[in-house]
Amino acid sequence: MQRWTSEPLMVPTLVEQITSAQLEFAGVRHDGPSFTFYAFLTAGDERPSADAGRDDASFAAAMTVFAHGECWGGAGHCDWKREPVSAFDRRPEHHLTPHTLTLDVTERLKALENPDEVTVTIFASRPTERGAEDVMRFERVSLYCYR
Amino acid sequence: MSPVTQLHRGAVTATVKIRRNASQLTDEELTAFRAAVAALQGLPDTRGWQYFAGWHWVPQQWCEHYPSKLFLPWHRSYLYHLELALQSHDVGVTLPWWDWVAEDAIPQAYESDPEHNPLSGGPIAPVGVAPQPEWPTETSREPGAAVGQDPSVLPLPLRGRYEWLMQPTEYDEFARRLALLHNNVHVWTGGTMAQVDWAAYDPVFFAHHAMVDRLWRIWQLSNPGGLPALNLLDVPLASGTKPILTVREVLDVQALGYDYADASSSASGTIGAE
Repeated sequence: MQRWTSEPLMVPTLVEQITSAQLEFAGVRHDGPSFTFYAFLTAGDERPSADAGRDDASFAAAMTVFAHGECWGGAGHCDWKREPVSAFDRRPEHHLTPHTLTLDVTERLKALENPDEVTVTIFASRPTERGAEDVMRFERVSLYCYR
Repeated sequence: MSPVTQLHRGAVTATVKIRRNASQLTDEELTAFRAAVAALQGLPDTRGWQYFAGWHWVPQQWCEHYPSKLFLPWHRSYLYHLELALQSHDVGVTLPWWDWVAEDAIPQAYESDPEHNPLSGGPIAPVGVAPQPEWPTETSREPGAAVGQDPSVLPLPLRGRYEWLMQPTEYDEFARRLALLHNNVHVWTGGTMAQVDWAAYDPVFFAHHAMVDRLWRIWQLSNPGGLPALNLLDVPLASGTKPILTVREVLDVQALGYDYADASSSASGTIGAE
């Protein structure tokens, strides 16, 4: 199982004023096997235990990503970093261009006592390969709060 | 199959057909459906099962999934075309749904008697492309194998998520939630169904997506103004058989010739009675 912990993320407003909080993962790769991940939100030095699950107090949300598996084409078929070949290239972006995924973490954030910062911890695994460490690959996680 | 509604289109009376729960088909209905699927599986050309399965990903790569806003419309169009192909063999059959909100397993209709049951799986032989040595050649399933050690998919049934699913009144959030439950069921089923690239070669894919489509239909009945973004309504939904439907054209299931048993919210009245 892959475990990953973010740098602290600033909570941009008072928790009691928040009506909705979204955790946005940008640049999530989906060119490997399907996987499931849990997101935990903690304040201060608190962290989820290594065996924490959906019933853990710090659990915020989960998602299963339905992904593509191994590349079925020839060399270069799954090379998603292609650029438009000309100004007239109106084709959509490559089908494996990384996604932006959003989790609703309102309930968990509001359960924290007005933290200035929170830390995101991710547990991710593939059902077919529980020991894999490179399960969830993404560029950035952001916290968006709405009043 | 009994009609639920009759639509009058010019001089022609169109009968809306009813999709049913896969676990509640009569023996006659199940036999007819299996025969129609087997007939498609026996066709090697653009009328056949392998051709339609290939629309989803290998080799055509046409499907749309979250975070795409076309997830629900594209799959509705897909099922529409496959159902018409099945009805070319038996005009009375419709695609049954797998009620994973209420049931904790793949319907027996798709699991029993695997030696003789065309719904239990089959070959993977994409049309129009040369197979590669590493490609799967047969469908497989591992139902429930993804449940257990954390992080884990949710076990079936997903009854406890139904209220959460139906809460949003805005289309995008409803579609996002439905996509997440949909992902969970794909990976819960395991094997072929757990990968976008090959999932549609397993016949249970279409029972799963009939359920997804049914849940959208139920939500639409409660949220008649809940539409995809206006700039999406005239987007064409890729398919290998004409007509190429637009998002707008798939919003009304009865206009596509089907509805779901127990999905209707209308009731007949008697004006002036009492």
